[in-house]
Amino acid sequence: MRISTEQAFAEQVEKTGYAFAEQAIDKYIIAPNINPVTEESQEAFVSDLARGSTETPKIVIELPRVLRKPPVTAQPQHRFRVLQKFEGTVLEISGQECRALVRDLTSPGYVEEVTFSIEEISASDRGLAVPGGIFYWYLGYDDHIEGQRYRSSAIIFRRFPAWREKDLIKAKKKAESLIKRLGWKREDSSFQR
Amino acid sequence: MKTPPSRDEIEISIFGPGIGEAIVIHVGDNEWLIVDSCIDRISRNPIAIKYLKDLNVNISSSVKFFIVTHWHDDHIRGASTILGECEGALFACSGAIGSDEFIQFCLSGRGALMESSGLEEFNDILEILSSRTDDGRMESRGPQWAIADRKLLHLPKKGRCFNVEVHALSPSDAAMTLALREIGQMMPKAGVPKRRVISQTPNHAAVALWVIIEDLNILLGSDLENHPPNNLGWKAVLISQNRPAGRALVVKVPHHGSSDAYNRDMWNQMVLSDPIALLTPFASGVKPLPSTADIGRIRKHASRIYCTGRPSGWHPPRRDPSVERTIRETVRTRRLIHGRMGHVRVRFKAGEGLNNPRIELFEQAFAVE
Repeated sequence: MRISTEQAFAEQVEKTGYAFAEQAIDKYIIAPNINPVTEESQEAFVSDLARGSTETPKIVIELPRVLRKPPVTAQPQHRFRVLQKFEGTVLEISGQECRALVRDLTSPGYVEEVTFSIEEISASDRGLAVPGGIFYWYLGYDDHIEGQRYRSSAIIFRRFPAWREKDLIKAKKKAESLIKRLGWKREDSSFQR
Repeated sequence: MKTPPSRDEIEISIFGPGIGEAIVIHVGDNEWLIVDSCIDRISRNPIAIKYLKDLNVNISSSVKFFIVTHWHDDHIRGASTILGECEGALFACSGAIGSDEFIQFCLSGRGALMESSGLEEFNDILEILSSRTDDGRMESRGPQWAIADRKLLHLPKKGRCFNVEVHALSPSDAAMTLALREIGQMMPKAGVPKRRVISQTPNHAAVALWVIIEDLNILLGSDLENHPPNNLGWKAVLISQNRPAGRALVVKVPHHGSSDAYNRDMWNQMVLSDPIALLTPFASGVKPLPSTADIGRIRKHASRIYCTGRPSGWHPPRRDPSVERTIRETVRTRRLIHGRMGHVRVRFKAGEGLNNPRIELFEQAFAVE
């Protein structure tokens, strides 16, 4: 029976799951040789897929340049359903406590000041919890692959690049040019008109 | 609320939504001054602009003076919008931020995610001032740098109902030096990760104002604090030989009535014995202001105290119950800092004397019992 590569892939997904089928088919996609597709090569490919072999194939077949992988249906996944999102700015770290302003991103216009234990921040993000540090705070349901649902709170800090010398030099030049344009003159510690 | 004052009526209106404040003053003859800015959460406009529009004031020509007393977020939100609309106004701000270091500080933050809303507003202000450099009017270019003992505005009585003067009482020279050092410390440094600017330093550079409208003196305390050295804060104001003489009948209590800003001599030497004290709350910070103790302290000097709102007690929006439960389990303390706008309005009618002010309270404003 003649079968297309897409069909073969779809069937394999049914049998072994998406990730396993993908691993098997990737071996073919990277094969550079282009040979005419024959019934024999198709069958070899299908049988190779069925075995889940990861060895170098003996027969190299031509595959479409873009392989459309079929959508995965009804595959249970671990997912986080966000019900509420805040953007926060750390104001102060005092002992084991973090004081922060949180801006409601779900119902814009509300700003709250909160304090929470730094235990709420993951160990990898704690170094970022300094005054001025920006984080997102997500609240919602954590739906596990096994089907359980947990209420969940996740504080995730944003990682910003460091200042570069050239940024600072650029800002200084812009400041000088603006001051000149405005005609401000410096006298003592303030400008005088 | 929407009735404008008559030509010979003086008005002092103070607004505060919980964090931030703005003051609007009618100095007679349909001429207005604006001090600081905050945003009305419902209209999303600077409250001063919204209020003046409600009164049918021609903002571009009738506002004569606009000052930002310091660059902290709670005094500057919406300031660039006000500056943009008040084309005929002289713009003033603290001399302490009139430094190339501060301008560089602002420009560094542009688009770098380090901005607080205060810096963002100041950037926009710089852009507006820059765009006005070619219109030939020096006053539109500004700013007028406010430093202690400098007269910032004079509208002589000629053709007007009242003589009007605005004087800066601060910052002192020492305060400006200190403020510049603090700005230097906040400046971004190469190799250091970008982050938002959180200014928690004392308000050394805040501009306290003395407004004279004919016989009425008004003391606007901004966020000026009281510090041990004689050359900073209220102590520097009190020892100055060059500040305007007289005592104020109306006082905007400095820094939301906090103990850090209390100076007994300020009340005894610069304020009349039974003044009208105006307050705005500050719902952020470790301790919301004013506290009961703060009110008790002010009460010793003023029996008439009016506040634009309470510093707490507002409710967040109705959220999913599971979200509320998770928030309660995660945080130790929680406070909504931006409530509804409150407005205290004091009007004096010429000919009725200064003893008969009409005091009106709108929205969340209340008389402190």
